[in-house]
Amino acid sequence: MTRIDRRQFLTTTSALALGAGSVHHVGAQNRELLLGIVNPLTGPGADLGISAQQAIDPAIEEVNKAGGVAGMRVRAIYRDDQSNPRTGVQVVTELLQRERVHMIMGANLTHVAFALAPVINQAKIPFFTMATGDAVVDAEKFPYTFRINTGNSVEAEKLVDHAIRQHAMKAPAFLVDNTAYGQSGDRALRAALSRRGLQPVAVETFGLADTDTSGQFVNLKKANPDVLFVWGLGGPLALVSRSAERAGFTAPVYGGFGMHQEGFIKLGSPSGDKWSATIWRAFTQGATPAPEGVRNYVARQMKIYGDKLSGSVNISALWDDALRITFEAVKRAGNIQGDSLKAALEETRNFQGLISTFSFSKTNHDGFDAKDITIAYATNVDRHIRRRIPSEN
Amino acid sequence: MNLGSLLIGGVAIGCIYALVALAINVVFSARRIVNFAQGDLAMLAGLVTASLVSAWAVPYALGILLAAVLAAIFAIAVEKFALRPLGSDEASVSWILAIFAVTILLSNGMVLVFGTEPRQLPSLASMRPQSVWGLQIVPDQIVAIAGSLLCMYLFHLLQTQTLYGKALRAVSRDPDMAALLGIPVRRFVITAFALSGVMATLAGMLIGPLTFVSPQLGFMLGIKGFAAAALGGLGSFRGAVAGGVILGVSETIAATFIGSGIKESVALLILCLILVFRPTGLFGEQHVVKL
Repeated sequence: MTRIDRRQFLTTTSALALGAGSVHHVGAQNRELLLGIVNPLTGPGADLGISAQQAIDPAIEEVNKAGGVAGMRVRAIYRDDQSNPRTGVQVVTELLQRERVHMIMGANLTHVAFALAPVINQAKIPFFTMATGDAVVDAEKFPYTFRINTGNSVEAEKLVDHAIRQHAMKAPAFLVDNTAYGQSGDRALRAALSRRGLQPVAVETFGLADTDTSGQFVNLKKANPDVLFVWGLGGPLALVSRSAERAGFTAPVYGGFGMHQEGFIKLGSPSGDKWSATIWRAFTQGATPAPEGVRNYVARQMKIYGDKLSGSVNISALWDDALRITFEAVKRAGNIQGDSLKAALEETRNFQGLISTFSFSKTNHDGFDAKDITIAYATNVDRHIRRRIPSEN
Repeated sequence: MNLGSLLIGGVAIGCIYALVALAINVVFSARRIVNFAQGDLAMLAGLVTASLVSAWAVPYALGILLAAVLAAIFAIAVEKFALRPLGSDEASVSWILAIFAVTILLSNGMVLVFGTEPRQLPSLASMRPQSVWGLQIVPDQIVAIAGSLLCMYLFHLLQTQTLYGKALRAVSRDPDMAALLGIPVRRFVITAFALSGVMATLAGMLIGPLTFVSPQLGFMLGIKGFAAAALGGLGSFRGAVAGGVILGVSETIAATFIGSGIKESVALLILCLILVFRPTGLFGEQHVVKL
């Protein structure tokens, strides 16, 4: 009989214990698909985070009831980025290191997404963002970042084109917020104007905590623009619309998706009712009724949440699409390793979602089809979205 | 909209900063600390009033009254539970941590109770601009200016014409001597905190219709109120008024003539310059300490 000395015994048992621990860890991870959800639940983008949560909880409940994804239960771990990039990095680090999530989704706000992208890409797990800032998505620079929403340059093209057709725009002006989102909108609009031989006659900025933007409107009125482009989040834009009304500013106003946030819909001035913004075509009536899928989705969400349903139910639909694309990718990958998930997401082709038909590839991580956005009165779309789907303008 | 109209807007927002600064001064007089949570008390009062009025259909005046009572209770609670246990050592800075803990608790608590959505308080007069002598004047801005000035004048009368005001000043100058003279110092400190809560409520009511009330408003108002108080001279009544108006007007002028991106910096630059050349602020008193 071979004798084992104390040192050998300790080494062997330690190795076995460590091995067992590792097996247990891998096993535990493989039973669940962990989705780290980083969203603003407080701060100026909070309604986006709440709309996301209202999409994620029922979708995950539904998929788990049906047996999960590729045999795994799905669990969402929520963290609040407080609409703040620094907080976003903190909570993502926690999700990566402590919770060991398999994918990060969210960062609706561009300035937060910019801060998160390097951290998540370094961890080599997929990052599904909804932020619209153009530079957030770059398949070479950030190979693990995918976007399901449209980018600012696509929005800017549509808006500029619409303003020229509807108002024969020749002298546009900008009023953009001073975050990365506003700056991204500024760059995208300048590029779209430049392609048409135009440039802004005035550019003003505003801060998220500003209490009044009357001074900016004095300067804008002096420049006498025929169209104003505003770029910012819902609540601050509502304040901007009030200043515009006080200043007697009457030129047509266009904006990006931020204008569809609940803050603008509820608190914008009456003149803000005629402000136009980009919106997903599926959420406008257009020539044909809104797609049945959208109407069913809105009805289902209303049934679940009743009066508590977020006004930005279109954001919920976007999240529903993101989750279903993810589940399909996990099924294709057959495992939850970062590189496998990334490759499977890149294989997504013509995925028919609620708001668009999505396709990704190795070189294109922007999955949204530019044909699926249009221009509509912001308040018209959102105020009445639960009752009717309004017309494009 | 011309420069005159802009200045009225700047004075209106400045008067509200002045009201917060005055509330900070009231607490400073009583306890020699700066209550940065003053803006959060204004935010609390604004959110409570907005909810009472919109969700419970409570009459506006009653809503303001209830919010003022609540803000006063919160202010007293801050003194009793966050500051009193730290003692009265003026050299200690632990009160700064306590006050910041209170601001975080208040803003997060308001998020839990009221959510993150901004709310608007009903207009006190009208938000529709009126043309008067070539100026575009928003009646709510005039209400904000008049309301702030009235409140400040009443406080001035209280401080100079009543026994209470004189006793409060005595407590502020030398609490030990005041106690020896039979002034119930503790009661005066509590009353000062309650009064600061009521003033914060009025600031919240006046800013609410002009902008929106959300849990994020508190921090901004607290910082601006402190900047106004420091600019005018901590503890000075005239200083609070001057500091608030200078801050509000300089923000508006900077946004219009220099650039909106730099307006916060200009206001704070003025504060820095004044503190460099006059460390006690515009109207602050210099204290001589005998060693």
